[in-house]
Amino acid sequence: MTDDDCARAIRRLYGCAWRQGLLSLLCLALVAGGALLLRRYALLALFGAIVVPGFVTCALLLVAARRLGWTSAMTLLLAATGAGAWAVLPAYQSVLAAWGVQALPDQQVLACVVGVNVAVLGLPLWFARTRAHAQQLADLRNAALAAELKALQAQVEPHFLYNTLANTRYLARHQPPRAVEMLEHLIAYLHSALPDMRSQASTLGREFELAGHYLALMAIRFGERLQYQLDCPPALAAVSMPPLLLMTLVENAVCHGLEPKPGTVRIAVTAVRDGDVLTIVVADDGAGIGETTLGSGVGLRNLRERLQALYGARAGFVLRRGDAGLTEAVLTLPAAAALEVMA
Amino acid sequence: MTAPRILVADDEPLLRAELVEALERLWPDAQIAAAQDGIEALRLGREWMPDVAFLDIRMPGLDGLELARVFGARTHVVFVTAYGEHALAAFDEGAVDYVVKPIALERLARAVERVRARLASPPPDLTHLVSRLRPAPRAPAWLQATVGNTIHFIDLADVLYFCADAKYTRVVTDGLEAHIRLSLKELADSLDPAAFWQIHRGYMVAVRRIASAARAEDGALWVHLRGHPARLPVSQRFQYLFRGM
Repeated sequence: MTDDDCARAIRRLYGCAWRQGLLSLLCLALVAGGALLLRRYALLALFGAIVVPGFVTCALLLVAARRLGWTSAMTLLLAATGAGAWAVLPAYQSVLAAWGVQALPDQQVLACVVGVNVAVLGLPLWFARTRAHAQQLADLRNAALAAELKALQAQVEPHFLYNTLANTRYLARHQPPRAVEMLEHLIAYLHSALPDMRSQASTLGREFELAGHYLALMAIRFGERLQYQLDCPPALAAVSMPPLLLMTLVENAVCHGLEPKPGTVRIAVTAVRDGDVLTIVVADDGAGIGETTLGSGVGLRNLRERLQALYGARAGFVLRRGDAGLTEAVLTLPAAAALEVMA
Repeated sequence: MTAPRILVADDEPLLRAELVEALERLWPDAQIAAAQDGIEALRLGREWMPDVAFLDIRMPGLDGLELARVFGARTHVVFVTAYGEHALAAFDEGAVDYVVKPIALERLARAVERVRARLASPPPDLTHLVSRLRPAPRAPAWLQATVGNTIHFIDLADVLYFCADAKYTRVVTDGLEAHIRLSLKELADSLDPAAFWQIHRGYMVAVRRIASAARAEDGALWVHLRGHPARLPVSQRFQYLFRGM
């Protein structure tokens, strides 16, 4: 993969279409002709001494491009310019001698030829390598995130589906309109929980909608026991955010707040924007993690890893139990930066 | 013979109603009572003394496995389990009756038949099975700690070190210092000994975050952390951990 990148960079940097080649030759001829006209023989010879090894090096790199890695390309470049400088030195001296012009000292000519060629040919290759490495890292990171997201989205648990459908079956016999209502929530939930993979970005509004369908299903399943409230300010509905972060928190509140606690449990989901910071809070007055000091939550760790990969230190997640006995999952995201994240 | 009494316990009201309805059809001469959580089921079990109990395994309050243990020798238990919740092989080996949600009527009819046939004899002892079905505790990933009046849930991966502080333990992460209501000793017992090293009577350090251990001029050994200025003492007793460093 790296070698492919390298070959592509070499072709881009040193190759040219015949039209461009012709134009370059014309420019060279112009410079050479100008120097001849002005009788700057020393400059002309030095120019030739620099350009010829440069051309040979480019040609060598282009011919060998497919077989070269970054390191071997660099080595070849240095070796070719060095050897080229040695090779053109006698020609340079004899031409100047023929014209009767004083030649520059050998070391200066060599330094000049190697220096100019390494700067003109070598530096772009070096930058291309740096860029290719950064790009490769970014690609890997994106691929990892996409794979993880895919795994998350495929995770509509059979258990969830079976239980929901069992509820619907009962309702269909006894309260058909509610069964229809439940199916509509289920369809809408599945529709947004299993989107096609092109849409890696989502919006706050969409995520709230998804959480709303999920909570509506749970409210039918658990009856009186679950009361919930979703509050997404209309002005924030279009703010971008990664998909399924909010769902993880809501599922968590149902699983660890509602399910283990007898009696009624309230879940509230809110979002506020303060400058560039979007804060989403999922609060429940359920069981929390209870008396146990040590817990083993894998879902939340995944969430934190996703946040870290997407935003680094610019996003935060805290799970806490406050004074009022509410378990609060607090997610903070950079609201402005959210737009560029999944590009 | 008096009508057999059946207790149905499930925390999802519609599924509970569906099971009650199905049992009324399959076992018309039975009396049926329903409980909405483990606590109500326990009360009904004590006061009403059912002959058979259909127990959802996952319930708030008391779960089905716990109830089965309490009902013990008096009540025949049929477990109701959600798909994928438990390895069904364990039930089959233990010769225990169970039905899988969503309930299929034929499967429920078979379970009813079996339990009716066994009603005259005492129920099998489930203690052994119940302890096998209990999920093994997983290695902890989180801990709860208090800062002022707020309880924080701290990912163990974020912990730098623990420090004994009177009868509590102080936990230090990159951004937070908080208190845990456990002694360092109790904490050490429940944490992975490969991830956290006790290096002193009062200190336990996250191995991942150790940058170096170095001797000071007076010969004492100190641990330095990566990305944190704290320096922790290593007592004589624990210096073997750093042998070869």
